Amino acid sequence: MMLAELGWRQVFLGAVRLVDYWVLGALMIYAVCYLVQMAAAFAELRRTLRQGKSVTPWWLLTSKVALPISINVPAYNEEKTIVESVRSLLALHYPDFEVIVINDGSKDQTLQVLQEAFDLKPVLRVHPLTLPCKPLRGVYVSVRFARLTVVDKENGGKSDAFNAGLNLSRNPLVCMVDADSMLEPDSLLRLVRPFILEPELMVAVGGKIRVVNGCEVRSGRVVKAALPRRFLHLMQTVEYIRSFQIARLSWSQMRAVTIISGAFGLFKRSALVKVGGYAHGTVGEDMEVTVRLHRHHLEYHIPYRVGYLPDPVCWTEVPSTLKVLRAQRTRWARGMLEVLWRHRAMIFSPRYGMPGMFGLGYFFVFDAIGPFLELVGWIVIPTCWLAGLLNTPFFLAYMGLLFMFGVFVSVGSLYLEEVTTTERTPPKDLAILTLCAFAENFGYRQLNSVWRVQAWWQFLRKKKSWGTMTRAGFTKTAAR
Amino acid sequence: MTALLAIWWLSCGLAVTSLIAMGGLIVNRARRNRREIVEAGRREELKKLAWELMDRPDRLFLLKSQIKPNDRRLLIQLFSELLQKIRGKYAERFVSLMRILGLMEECLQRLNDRPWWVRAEACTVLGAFNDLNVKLALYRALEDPIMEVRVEAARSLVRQDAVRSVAELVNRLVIGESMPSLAVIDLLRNLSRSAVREFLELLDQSPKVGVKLVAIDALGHSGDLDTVPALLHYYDHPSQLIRLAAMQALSLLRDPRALAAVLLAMTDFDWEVRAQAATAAGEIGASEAIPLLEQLLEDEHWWVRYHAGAALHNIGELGILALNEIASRPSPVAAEMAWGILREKGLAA
Repeated sequence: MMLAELGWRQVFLGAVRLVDYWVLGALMIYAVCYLVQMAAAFAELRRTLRQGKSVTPWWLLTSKVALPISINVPAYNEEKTIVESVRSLLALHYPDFEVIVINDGSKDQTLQVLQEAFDLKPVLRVHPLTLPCKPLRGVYVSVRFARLTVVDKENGGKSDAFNAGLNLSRNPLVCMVDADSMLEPDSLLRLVRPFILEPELMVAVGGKIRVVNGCEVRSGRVVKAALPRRFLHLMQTVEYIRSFQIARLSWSQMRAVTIISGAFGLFKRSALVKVGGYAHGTVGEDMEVTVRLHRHHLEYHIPYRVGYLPDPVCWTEVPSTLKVLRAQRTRWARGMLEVLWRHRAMIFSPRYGMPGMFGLGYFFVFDAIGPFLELVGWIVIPTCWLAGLLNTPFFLAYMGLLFMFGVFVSVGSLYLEEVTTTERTPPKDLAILTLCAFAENFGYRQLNSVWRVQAWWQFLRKKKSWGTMTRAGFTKTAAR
Repeated sequence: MTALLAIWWLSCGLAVTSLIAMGGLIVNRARRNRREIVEAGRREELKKLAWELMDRPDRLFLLKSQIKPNDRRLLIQLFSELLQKIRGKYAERFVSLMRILGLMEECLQRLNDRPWWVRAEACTVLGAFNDLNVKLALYRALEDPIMEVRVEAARSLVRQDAVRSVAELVNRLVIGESMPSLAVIDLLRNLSRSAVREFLELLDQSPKVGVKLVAIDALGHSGDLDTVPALLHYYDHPSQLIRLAAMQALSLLRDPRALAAVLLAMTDFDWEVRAQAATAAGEIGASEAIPLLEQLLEDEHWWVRYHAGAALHNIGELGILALNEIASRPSPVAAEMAWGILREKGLAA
């Protein structure tokens, strides 16, 4: 009766206005969250960099307290980069470590190139089968490099390879590294710092991931850091600073780090074993295991700490084409959705403290729901404004929050990163990065939102594949 | 102006401000980079001069005449790094050079600076000066509100062999019931050889678990066998951390008098204590432990089985014989481990 009196047109207009205000309200909430995040990240950056002055790499190298580390490197079809990666790992500055490469049933020549490069011989190594993994086909050690062990196993995915590596690791700390990553020589000495300062509490620490494309690489080491030349690489460089570096620092400040990147993370082995190792059947295994560590410790009321450090650096190659980038980003988003679904009981639950309330809450609001809101906003608000249903101040407020505030967040994140860094970044590079931080808000960020929505579709269809990541190898990096 | 327009203008304002700030940072970075290059060059020059003076102390006037006001900060940084890396005659020469240049007084002043890392760096450098004023200043630095400064002060006092009281030092550095940082553990280990009696008193008198833990660890690293009877009291302590620390210390000391306690610890309900006790038995090398180690090869926890197997191997001929015998037994768990250890050590095909 009421509806008929009002008229369908007015009901429709009311609903559209409601959606408009809803989108604008959400954008305002996002803006406030970003401001809080940037403030927290700034505080954490200052704290961690000062902390670094108390445990110096030299002291760690010469004292006998540096905890032994097993570096686990899962490798699947990595024949192009694996030798250089392993060489770079063997050359790390750390008093006591071993490198365990897990060949996860590669179809290419990964094992053969390793055998040739490092003179491997088969051995027997007693190990527990505590964590589930596919059968091992052989364990090899290098005749020339006592620190190197190579495990050949049937294909079971990245989680399976990590579990196999964990079973074989005998050191109290395990460092998870991607086969396509390169660590800075002193990165382990820096990453181990929280375990030195809080040996009982610390269970996991993540390090900073930087884009290697454009850098000069020799013998598995970045000899000259430089910005990439390609636009797509530059966009990803800015994104790594804004989205990963600043976000993770703020979570670390709030004790809510819910993702330690599979590309570079240090864990207490016993803690990983206690939670059952890496989970099968998810493409977001790094986030899943971090969340499970939180969940286990919070449910059993065990004091613990998970952190992130901005100065231990790991270099990684980023996708060079939109197609590969899309595959990578949809996979990441799908992994995040899988983790949110598995651990939905933790989201916004006070029982799970900061990781549940803020860590997973952030992912749920910003990365799971956010892209839909953005998408609705792009279609509905400009259409309504053009149709005269919305006034110009409303439209401007929307555009301001969407683009101008986005520019502030991107450039502000870059500012925070640079104002606290001890690196000598050339001013020209900073100017280029600033331009990119400005530009990423006009297309690149929107593209990412579309890919996140696509990830929802893949998640609902229960897609499990990883897709292919084409790599050129590190030695050619400088030329690209 | 409506609230909506305010949002627009505020967003634009923030965007423009961030861009201007970034512009300022770029200009500042250009200046900073230039300054750092100049400083790095100057540092190299000073380093070269300092090394020259090591062999030709008569040319000290050369350095004195070339020092500029800003060089003192660079020299303190330079010596702070170098003193960690050099020892003996050269270190002594460096210290006397610093005295002549008045850097000791400069460091004493820096102990009052606001940034804690400046105070910590001053404590590190002062550790090289065997001087009463320095010692008094370092004692005062032990009261610093920042733990990192206290640790550096304590390190310097240990380096000078000038610790007045171990109990006082531990009270300043060990807070709470948990294990302190490994930096603290390391400096107490360095102190342990010269302060065994004080650590024994501390272990006996302190009710804090954290203090007992560091005392047990330090005593284990002292290498002094007189500490064994005191450590034996802790194999059945209610705290799992203390029982574990006691077994670790006894593993390091390898004293046969500890065997009875080690054998009892091999039946502990905590698997980590059992595994550590097995290691201790292997380190002691006592054949009396073989029957219990054989039992531990059947333990439900893999790491206990592994340490028991490794301990049997460490014991020597009799242990290896036992491993060979177990490898042929029907018990799959024990046989698998025994066989695995033998193969890993190259004793079985």
